[in-house]
Amino acid sequence: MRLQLKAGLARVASLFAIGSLVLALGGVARAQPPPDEAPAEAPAEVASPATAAAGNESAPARRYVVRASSEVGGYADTDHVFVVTPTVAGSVADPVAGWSVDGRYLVDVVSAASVDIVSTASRRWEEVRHAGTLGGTYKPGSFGVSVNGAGSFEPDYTSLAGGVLLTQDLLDKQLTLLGGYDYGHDVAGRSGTPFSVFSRTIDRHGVKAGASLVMSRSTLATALVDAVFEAGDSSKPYRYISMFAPGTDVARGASIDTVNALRLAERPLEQLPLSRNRYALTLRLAHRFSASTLRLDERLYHDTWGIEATSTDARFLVDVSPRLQLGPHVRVHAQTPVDFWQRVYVVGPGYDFPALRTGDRELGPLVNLTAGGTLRVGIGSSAAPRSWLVGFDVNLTSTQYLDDLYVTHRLSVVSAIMLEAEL
Amino acid sequence: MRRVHKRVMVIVSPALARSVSRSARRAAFGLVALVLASCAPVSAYQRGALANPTMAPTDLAGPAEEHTRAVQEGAIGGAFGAGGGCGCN
Repeated sequence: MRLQLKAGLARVASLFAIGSLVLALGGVARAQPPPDEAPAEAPAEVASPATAAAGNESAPARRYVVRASSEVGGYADTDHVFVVTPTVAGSVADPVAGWSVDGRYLVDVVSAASVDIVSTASRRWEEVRHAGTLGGTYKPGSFGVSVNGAGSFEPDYTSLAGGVLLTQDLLDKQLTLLGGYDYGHDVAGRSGTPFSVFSRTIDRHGVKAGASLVMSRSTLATALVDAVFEAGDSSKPYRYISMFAPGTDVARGASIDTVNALRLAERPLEQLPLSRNRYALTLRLAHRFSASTLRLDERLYHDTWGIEATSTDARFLVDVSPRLQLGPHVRVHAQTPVDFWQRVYVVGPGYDFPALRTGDRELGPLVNLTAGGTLRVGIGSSAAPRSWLVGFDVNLTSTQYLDDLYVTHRLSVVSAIMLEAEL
Repeated sequence: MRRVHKRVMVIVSPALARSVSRSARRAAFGLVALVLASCAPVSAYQRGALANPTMAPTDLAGPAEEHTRAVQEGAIGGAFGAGGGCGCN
């Protein structure tokens, strides 16, 4: 199954490469200015970051750009998981001096009665998560530095992270190189039990390096390599794994009743490896047409648990009018399972449980197909119609679990309503 | 659903998988070479289109979409602060 999925991943990667090639060739062809085009006539094309961000190139540029946004996101799926996520964010930038600061705060309100919860005879589970980020960037010239910090707090899980990112423009800003480091420290516990009584720590070190290349006046290519080195036990202290006697056959998607009838009485907790190295290559191509933008992303992923994955993402953002922008979006994600994935974990001689075991179906083989889109409506003044934006995003995802108990398919929808203003 | 899954397993053989994987690597190298070779000089006055917010080199996914992705895909890397104390997914 792993090889079959790998072939699918490779095929998607090849298709992306071909698509990128076509777009790159088109972009390069357009990069050459016509012989009669004089630079003196062109400055009208130049947009300062401030005016461009407001979507209105005729508005006067201000020294400080202050932006604020609010979003309410919602998630629901056919596995009875519901999440509501209100978010507020803001940023202040001085494009002339080259600095900016930004922050974001969100709350996740989760209510779940998924099959994993029901199968352990537990009640509906509800939880609130608070998360925030703070960041700052200083780039007075060709060299820039950004720092960021993030925190996430749940009753049974705390995550703190921080990082630094360096950028350097080269070749008259034709090429931008970037490199960064992140550190994260998580503490996982059990709800209702103090961290001092039970907790596990997970440390993450992340490094990334990349380059952004102006390929033509309307095409931008970005490549990013990132690696994350995790150490710690990220096994879920609530996740119990069904065990079976040797020779037991349990069909994919077997119901809770069937599994309960076939499994042994013992159900050990999940146990994952104590370290994990993740490696990813992201390629991004953005091309601006006269009134629309096509963005293609491909992310290839490999980790030491055995997952290999491809995520292909395409967005086409169309400026229907100065006040209206539409953006259809599709995404395909496919992944192989972790090495220790088994639909049916068998107890060995002497009642030995497999040393590594999981019931997290996001660690199994799966294919996600997402389709959706964005709508942005400018409600600002006629001089700067997009200085105030109302937005609506919706994405529908169909997930095929290829080798799981209980669930073979999940349909989920995530939507968000946002308001963004340049103050 | 089981029939579709079976068909996918039959269609793609391990040998073909290896062959396609090699082709993908070659395509990736070719793409990198092409990108580096095709760097055409673009003056500052020609970069109006590149300054459009939709051309940002970063991911355009909003917080809700980003978080959903971090939960639904087992291949997210560097997604700090994702949390996840529950066993609901």
